[in-house]
Amino acid sequence: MSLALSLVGWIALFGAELTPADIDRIQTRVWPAPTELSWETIPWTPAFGEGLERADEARKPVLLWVMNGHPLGCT
Amino acid sequence: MGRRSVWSDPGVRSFSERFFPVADEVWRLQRGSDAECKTFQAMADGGHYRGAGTTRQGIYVCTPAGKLLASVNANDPTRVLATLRQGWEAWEALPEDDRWIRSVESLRPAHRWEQSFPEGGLVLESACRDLAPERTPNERWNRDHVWFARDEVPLWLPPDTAGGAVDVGFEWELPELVTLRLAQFHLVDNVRGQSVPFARAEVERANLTARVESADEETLALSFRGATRAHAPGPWQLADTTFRPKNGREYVHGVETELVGRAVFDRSAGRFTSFELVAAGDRWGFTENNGRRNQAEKSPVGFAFRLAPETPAARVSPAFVQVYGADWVRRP
Repeated sequence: MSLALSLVGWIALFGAELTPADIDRIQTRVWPAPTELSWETIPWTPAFGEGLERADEARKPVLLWVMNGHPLGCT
Repeated sequence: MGRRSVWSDPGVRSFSERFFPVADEVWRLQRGSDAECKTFQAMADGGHYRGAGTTRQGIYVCTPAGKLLASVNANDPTRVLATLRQGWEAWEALPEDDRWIRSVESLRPAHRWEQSFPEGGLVLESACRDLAPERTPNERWNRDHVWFARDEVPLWLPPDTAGGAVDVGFEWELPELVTLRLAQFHLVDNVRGQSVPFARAEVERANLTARVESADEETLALSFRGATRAHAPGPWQLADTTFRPKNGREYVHGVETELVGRAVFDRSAGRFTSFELVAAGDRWGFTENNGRRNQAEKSPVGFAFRLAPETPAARVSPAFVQVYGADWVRRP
């Protein structure tokens, strides 16, 4: 981040007041790109107990991913 | 989000297809006392973090019966792939009788926040990210979900929506239940890691003006404009102590934003068919785990909200749902 931007904050990017035209600009900037979402294309079951039961039905071993904060939510 | 880069590795992705993929939040699993949590603890206590009192974050391979086969906590795809291979080999060597669930006790938990998922309500997904002029490689961002119950959806609409005619150009202020839910729990600096929500008393400003842009018998097109400011100088004023650090380190932190948005409401279906709300502003200070300790000065941050897809992942609860203060949120 440039020194100028750090001094004047977000106003340097979007002006002193947001307008409807900024909706698309901010969305483009904030929403993750597909390359940042590769993990989402794996069909995770989002609960451990349910996952064990469904793995049993599917006759497969479990790959479990756990984090502080749900990996599919806010971490 | 750095850890998520593991799952873009072609080798990891290909090998992971041999398994049934499960993701979950570890804090409840490593502390809870129901069958689901006890099964997790018995399995994970033999994993890469042995010994009591430490986090059990990581990647595990186990049987549906809960027997640990391999585990690791790493961002390095090579190490993760090696763990998956180790787990698969252990699975292949396991007698058939040791693989499957034998207990008749259900592993479905007595309580999860997801059990309060607001069917028929307004469910948004959100993202937040630092607003630098250009994206940089491996830039941090975070996501969350926002819940409004079915009975709360009308709070986003002009007061007489159910009565028929709605005047184009009509403006009104959205109620505090809407604006405070956003300002306290969702306009929070989680970009680099989980932070803490703001108490009601720490929200200095939260307003959102809605306007009817067009209206007919079927749809209402709305626009939104507003501003928020939350500042927690410490000691934090959260009534719920869940997020108060036991070490007493209640640092100064805050977020100030402007908001703008648009949405379309289907009057006959009684639901939003599109919803886009964005916020841009500044964040400052830091909390224990939000990764801002070396960046306490103000810097630009952006937030975006839109309708969540109808997927299992999108039903994961908001990070701070337990302090929404809503009577429809079922507590343990």
